Amino acid sequence: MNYDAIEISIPFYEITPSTSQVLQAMGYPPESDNLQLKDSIEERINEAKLHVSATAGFKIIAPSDFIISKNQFSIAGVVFDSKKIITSQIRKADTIAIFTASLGSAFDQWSKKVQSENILDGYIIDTIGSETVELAADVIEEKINQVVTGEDYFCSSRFSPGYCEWSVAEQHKLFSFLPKNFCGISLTESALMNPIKSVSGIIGIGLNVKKLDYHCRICTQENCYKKKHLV
Amino acid sequence: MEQILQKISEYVEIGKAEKNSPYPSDLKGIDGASELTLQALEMGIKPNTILNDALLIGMRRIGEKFSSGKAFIPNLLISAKAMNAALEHLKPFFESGEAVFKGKIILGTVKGDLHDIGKNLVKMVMKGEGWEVVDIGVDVSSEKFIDALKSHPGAIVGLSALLTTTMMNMENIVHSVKEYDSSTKIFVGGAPLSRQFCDKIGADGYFPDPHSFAKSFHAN
Repeated sequence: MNYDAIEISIPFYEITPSTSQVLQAMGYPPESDNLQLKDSIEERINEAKLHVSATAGFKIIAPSDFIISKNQFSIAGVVFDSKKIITSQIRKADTIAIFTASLGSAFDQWSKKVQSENILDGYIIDTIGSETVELAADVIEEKINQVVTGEDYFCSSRFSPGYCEWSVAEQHKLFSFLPKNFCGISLTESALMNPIKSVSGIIGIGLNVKKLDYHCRICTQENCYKKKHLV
Repeated sequence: MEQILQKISEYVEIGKAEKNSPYPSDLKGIDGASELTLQALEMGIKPNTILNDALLIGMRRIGEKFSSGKAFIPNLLISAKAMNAALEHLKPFFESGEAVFKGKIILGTVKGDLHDIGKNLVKMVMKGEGWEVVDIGVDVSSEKFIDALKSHPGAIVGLSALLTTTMMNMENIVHSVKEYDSSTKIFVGGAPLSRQFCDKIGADGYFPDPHSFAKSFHAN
């Protein structure tokens, strides 16, 4: 297996969210027929292609550097307090891949500009951004899957700091294993990713790893993205 | 008089802001909340009557739909936009004191956090509810909140945070603001927050969405 960091560009057409996906992310039921919003969303999705410059990447950690216990895992001696929900899902992992995806800073600038002029359009763009960056993460997750399947390994679901009770502050430790400015992402002191429309996380890899459902029903995080999608 | 007030409230609820608003398409070319408000003023209806018996009624109706899951954030924003278009005509009366704001709120995303969408949603809905909003931006320190309070004495304060790391900065801001003026009411909101966290840091209230925040003042 290759343990180098790999970074790819993703064209917008591969990660374009659908209008109904954006509507559902705003809370509307799938059968919703809100013409005003549909037109605005379609228009903004079309504009988004001019502002999205998506990159995603991953780095597989050498199995010799990876140790997992009940509530924690470690990479080269650096301990991650990832909590039980995550460790239970990657307990059988031989190693993990660290991944990131980002829409680039031009998207953030566009989103901010529109928000200052029209909050409704700003909200639509923010939601388009959230959906698009998750689709970019889907692409990199699939890429990791392809790489490890070729070696007869399997992947878990993906998990991110800030979710499943894993503290977002641990993002600093996670990024310390990636090249500087990987996918154009930097971290603030409070572990905020810049550009804002970025995601990061881990995926368990192993001979006996299975992709299981997220344990949303036992998680205490009320307003989680994954939980919202589960409803 | 009642007829025009009812129409204004209806148009705020459905978000028909102006005559040339393209939506709802079946009302295209028909006077919206803005034009009707102007007509109501010309008819001699008092600004406070327009505000309380028409505009706020429309906002409350869409708010109730939001609470019961029949409307969503964009609906609130569309209504608030119609409300704000109408409020433009009432501005001179607010300035002269003939019409009064429900209160003043200072809003900011706390130190270390650059997310502003949640704060902006609250801003739009509170403006639509007849509040005067002072937006002091993102990455806001205790000092900046206190400076804003010095410029706007008696205002309430709203703090926003989207990360578990930055919500911790709320505690310091709450303490500093309370130390400056213990009577200042401070409210908190943001995805990772909870009522328990609000109680722990000594804030006066936590609200999970802009409407429930605005609604908490309805009885007052």
